[in-house]
Amino acid sequence: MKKFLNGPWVLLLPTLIILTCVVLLPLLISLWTSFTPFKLTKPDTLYRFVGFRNYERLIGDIDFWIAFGRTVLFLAIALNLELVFGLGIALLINKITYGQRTLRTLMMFPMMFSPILVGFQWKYIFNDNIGLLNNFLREFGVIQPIPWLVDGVLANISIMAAEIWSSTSVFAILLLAGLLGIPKDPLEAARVDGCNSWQVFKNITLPFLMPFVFIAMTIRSLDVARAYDIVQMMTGGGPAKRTELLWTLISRTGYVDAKMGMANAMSYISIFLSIAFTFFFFYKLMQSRQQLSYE
Amino acid sequence: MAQVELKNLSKKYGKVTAVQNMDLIIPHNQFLVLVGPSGCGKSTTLRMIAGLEEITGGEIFINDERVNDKDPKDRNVSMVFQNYALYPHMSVEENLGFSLKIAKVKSEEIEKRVNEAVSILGLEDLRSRKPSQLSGGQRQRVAMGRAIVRRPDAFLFDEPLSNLDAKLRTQMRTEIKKLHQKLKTTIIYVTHDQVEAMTLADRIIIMKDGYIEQIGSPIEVFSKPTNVFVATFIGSPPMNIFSAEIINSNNNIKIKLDDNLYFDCTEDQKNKLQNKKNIFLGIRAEDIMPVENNINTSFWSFKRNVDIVEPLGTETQLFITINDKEIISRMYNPYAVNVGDELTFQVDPSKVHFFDKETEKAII
Ligand SMILES: Nc1ncnc2c1ncn2[C@@H]1O[C@H](COP(=O)(O)OP(=O)(O)OP(=O)(O)O)[C@@H](O)[C@H]1O
Ligand SMILES: [Mg+2]
Repeated sequence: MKKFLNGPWVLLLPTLIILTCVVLLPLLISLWTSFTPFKLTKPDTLYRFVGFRNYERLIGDIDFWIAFGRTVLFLAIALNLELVFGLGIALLINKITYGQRTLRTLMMFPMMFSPILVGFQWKYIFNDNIGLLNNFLREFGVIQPIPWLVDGVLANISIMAAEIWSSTSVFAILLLAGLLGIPKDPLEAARVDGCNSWQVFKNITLPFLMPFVFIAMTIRSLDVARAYDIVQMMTGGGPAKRTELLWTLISRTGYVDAKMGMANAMSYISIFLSIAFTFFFFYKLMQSRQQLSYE
Repeated sequence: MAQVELKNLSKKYGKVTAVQNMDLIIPHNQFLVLVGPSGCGKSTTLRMIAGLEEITGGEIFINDERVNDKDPKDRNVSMVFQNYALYPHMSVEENLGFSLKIAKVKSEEIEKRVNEAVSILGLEDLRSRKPSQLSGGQRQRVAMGRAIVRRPDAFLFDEPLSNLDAKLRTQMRTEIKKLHQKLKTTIIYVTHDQVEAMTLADRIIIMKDGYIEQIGSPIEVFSKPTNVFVATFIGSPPMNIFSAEIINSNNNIKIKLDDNLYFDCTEDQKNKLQNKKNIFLGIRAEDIMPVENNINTSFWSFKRNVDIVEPLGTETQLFITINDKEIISRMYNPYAVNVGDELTFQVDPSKVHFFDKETEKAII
């Protein structure tokens, strides 16, 4: 006992206690609830163990897997578009010599708004009756209002637009940081070595940027995998569940239908999605850094 | 195979003038060295030839073709940068072959030329290493190899040896000289090290503040400097410069160094100095010789106490004072000298340089 009290454990104890309270306990409790038919309205269900029944039901639940698949698709499309736009913006800003700082700050504006407000604002823009977009289109002779948030496909595109608008700057900022950090010499050497601008970009600039791309990808994949606010504000997962993503589904299951046990089972499955993406991008990050022989 | 020609070339960065009205023809196969103090515009000149820097005024011709508006990639020159500028994500081999790959050369040909460069530069064991795994000297060789494989019209070197230690620098200097003899290409080489300039160059250009001060062979710029700047820049230790006065009395011209030092001059010098009053006089350290006996009567001679003695092995440098100015004399075949000893020094008048006091230009 004396040895224990003097050992390194004592020094670690505060951290361990905090971690247990903040991370481990909630994790264990939520894991436990996923093995019960816990309903928020009937607290005593918390103590009824039903084994893997929630998970078994989920495996056969088409709605869940559609939301899962839509989230993956949403993530893939949004991330790639954000990468392209972010890279474009970063390259353009990197070119200009005057007013770069101001532009960099301006570019961060979308990130300064709460996602709830962003969702609210875009809902207004895309509203089929009074929305800015349809009013604007009417000026150009599009009389028939376009049902941006009502049509299944268009609603997904609208949400994507809002998401991209609010988060492209993450890519732009990180890639700009990458661009500013590229040494000038290899770029000039490549030009003398016979490269045109595209070849310089492809062979020199891009390898230098890849670590930054993957850092941005990691951050954003976690962000998008838990996308909730914007979707909830703009469509609430509708129409007819056509824009349902994992977390809108989970929150509805947990708080509207009060099936917390089931909701937690869903969360545990979806967490694997985030872990998988994080793992993948981190692996790529390490690889690209190794390429540049930083390690 | 290239002749590079600069016509009235200028470069301004805003109000700063980096290069001023430079005129120059570099014939095929010449090893030209640009030398000058830091900030005199050497790199800028080189970068304009490479196409990395926009030209403010004037023209550049490579093989009689005007290249002002051509991209670097279309000029067929290769450049070795001061910091090597290797591609960090490529192996030595890929670094060497990169330009050929871009030029869509067949892979057998690429391999052949890379192998050639590898064996010329002794990089056999390093082929698959990344630049970060190489020492400075090895990186430097890769940088040179990258320039060689392209078989360019001209090589541009920007202080390629300045990051190496003294021994490696001497060694690489010889390598570069050999390489030039082997490849027979025009080389424009920038350095601020005058020893490097003297040993490598067919022709030296000494620059200062964007201007060319003198162009000539190493021997020329050493033995016939056209102004005080060149005289003190080329040669180590720098040439001794004194203020002197020309005393012209009843058709006899004398040079007055200080109140007790008057020297006669040769017939030839009399003509040159007749109409001058105040001049600078330049004598290289090796031309101020301490002598023990056999004094040559046609030489200038004077006695001085030695202030400082610096033995260097093959020679000893003696510091003396003339007219409050510190003067260095080089003693070959040195014998023991103590501080404070009075020695007789001799100067061969024909080895003395004269410069106008106003313009600092050589009097000829
Ligand atoms: N991008 C730039 N903007 C403004 N001034 C510059 C720029 N590049 C160079 N200069 C100026 O031009 C002059 C010549 O510079 P350059 O780099 O050619 O000197 P250098 O002779 O190569 O010197 P060093 O031996 O130190 O390399 C310097 O006065 C420098 O301050
Ligand atoms: Mg320089």
